[in-house]
Amino acid sequence: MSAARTLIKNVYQILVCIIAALFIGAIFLLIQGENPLEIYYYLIINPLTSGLGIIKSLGKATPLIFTGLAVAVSFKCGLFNIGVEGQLLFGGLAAALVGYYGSGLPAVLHVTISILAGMAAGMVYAFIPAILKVKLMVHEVITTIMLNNIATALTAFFIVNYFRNPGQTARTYNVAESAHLLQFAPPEHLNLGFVIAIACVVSLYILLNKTPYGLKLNAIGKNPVAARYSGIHSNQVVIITMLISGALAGLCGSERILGAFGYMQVNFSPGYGFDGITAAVIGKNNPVGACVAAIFIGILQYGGTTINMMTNVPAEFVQVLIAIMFVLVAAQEAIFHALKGLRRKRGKKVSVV
Amino acid sequence: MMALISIITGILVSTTPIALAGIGGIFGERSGITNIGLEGTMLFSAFFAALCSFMTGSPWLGLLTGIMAGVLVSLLHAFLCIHVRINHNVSGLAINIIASNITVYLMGLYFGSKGTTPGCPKVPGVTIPGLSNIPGFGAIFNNISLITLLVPVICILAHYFLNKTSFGLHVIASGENPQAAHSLGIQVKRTQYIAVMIGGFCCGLAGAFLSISYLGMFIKDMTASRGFIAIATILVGRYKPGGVLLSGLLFGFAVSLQISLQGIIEIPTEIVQCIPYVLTILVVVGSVIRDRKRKIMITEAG
Repeated sequence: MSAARTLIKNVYQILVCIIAALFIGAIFLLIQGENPLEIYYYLIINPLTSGLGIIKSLGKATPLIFTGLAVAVSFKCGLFNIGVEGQLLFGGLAAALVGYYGSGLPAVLHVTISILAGMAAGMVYAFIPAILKVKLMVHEVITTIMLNNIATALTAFFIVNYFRNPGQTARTYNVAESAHLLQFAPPEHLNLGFVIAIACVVSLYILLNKTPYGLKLNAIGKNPVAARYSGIHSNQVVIITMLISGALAGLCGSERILGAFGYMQVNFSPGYGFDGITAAVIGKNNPVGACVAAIFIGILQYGGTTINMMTNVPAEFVQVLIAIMFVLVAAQEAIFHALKGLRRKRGKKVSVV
Repeated sequence: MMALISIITGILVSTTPIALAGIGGIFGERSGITNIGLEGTMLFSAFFAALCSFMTGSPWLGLLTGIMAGVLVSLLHAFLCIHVRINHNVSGLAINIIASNITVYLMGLYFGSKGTTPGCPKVPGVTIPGLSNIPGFGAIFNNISLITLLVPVICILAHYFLNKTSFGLHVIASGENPQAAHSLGIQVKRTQYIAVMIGGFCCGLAGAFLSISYLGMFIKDMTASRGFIAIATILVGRYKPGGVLLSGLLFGFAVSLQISLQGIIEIPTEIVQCIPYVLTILVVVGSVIRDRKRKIMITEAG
């Protein structure tokens, strides 16, 4: 089958899964006594009818594009980096500190250094599970989950004890004006981070599809044993992949701090890392797919804030809906395989009759 | 003396959910189905136990609902892994993500709050007649949770089932070599289903313990990575119920240390909070090194 046909088939099947998830969500809403059409109008259509809605949706999607890419690149290599959440917390802290203490630098230089600091912090934090995996074969799921909890506590520790802005609830000093990311729209909705995110999508796509490294990564992800026999240094690729993943997670933290908040609050992430996992799974670990999925989740989350105000359905409904999509898309191949089997069975029965 | 008693009680309380989930999880792991969804399973159980206990006023019905919830969620995991054949980690992750979101959503629907539920009836504690009269240490056995008392029982049962029954051997065979097991007439898929559901049963108990035995309410994300720590205890305890119970005690000690150190010694709370998680990583790394050394010794001897 040609690449284009595979792509079309994949997109079609993912869309079917998403619609099925909306149906399941509709059952929830009906049980609750709500009108699903009204809720889905607010969730999906309404954000796209106004310029502000689109801008706010893209703004909500920006951090998820970064985390989606971070998860996608690691999953593609067969690595379950669930530690994006912790890596982005450290990335945010580093960006906030450089953004505050580097005041006086020229704006372009300052903002660049702050972003790089965030990426570096994410990479350092991702290096821990990577080296444990490569040297000691400790599975990354356990280490990254534990490191998430440690990151939450440690960043809170640093902020509360050393970098706290007195007179404010647990948060750092404001980032200097020169480290702020360029704002595109009314305060805090959309910033230069979105453009950086798209640039990351393109570069990651090229990296994965047009370079020797990408080829090796795909080989390890598909069959690590075969990859090793064909002479690929899998340890090296695993470490590089985790570092890229950590850098993208750190970018997410930087974008939030330098573009949206302007300071780092303890526990500022409402689960960007976990939504990134969903984006990666819905996007089938493809950078472009993860980006589209992240934007879709962004639209739903912005829609979630409207249903919270306009109807009796809480915003958490959106997260439930996204979780259902996650499961269905993850099971996509098996579901369609089963459907095909059913159709064939029915066909046989007809021919017998 | 009182401080020591309260520390021991604290250790028992912290060990109970971790050890239960770990011991139950052994069956799934050994049958070849990795379950990183233990965390979400426990969270589901904790919520439904609290909900049912609150609605009906009967903690026993709550306990039953919690266990049922655990078994059903693990059935879903087994179905996704065995029949739908999606990646075990992806399925487990999905369960964790759904659990964390749906419990908050349902909490909003039923209780109108997004953080904690109101208090619900708790499973009454048990006072063991003979032991509670021992001077000094008797207080430990005064008003102890029934579920905590079940832990050693379940550990012994798990050991018995895993090593002394044909079911246990089927579980191990299915995990180590499914094709060979199948050719010997073992129903691999059925064995795996049952094994994963045993894990769900134990997670159900663990979740119910957290919500309707220990705290008497449900709190958002109240499992706080205990499910993942349980997976670590399985690795550290070398997939043996006794070993898992012991490593569960170690982690329980760390968690209770975290709770009892807060406000006693001048260590910042945030650092104390890290103890169980750092310990998990260290102990898992240690056990990997230990197993590797042992392997080298075996190959050298052979």
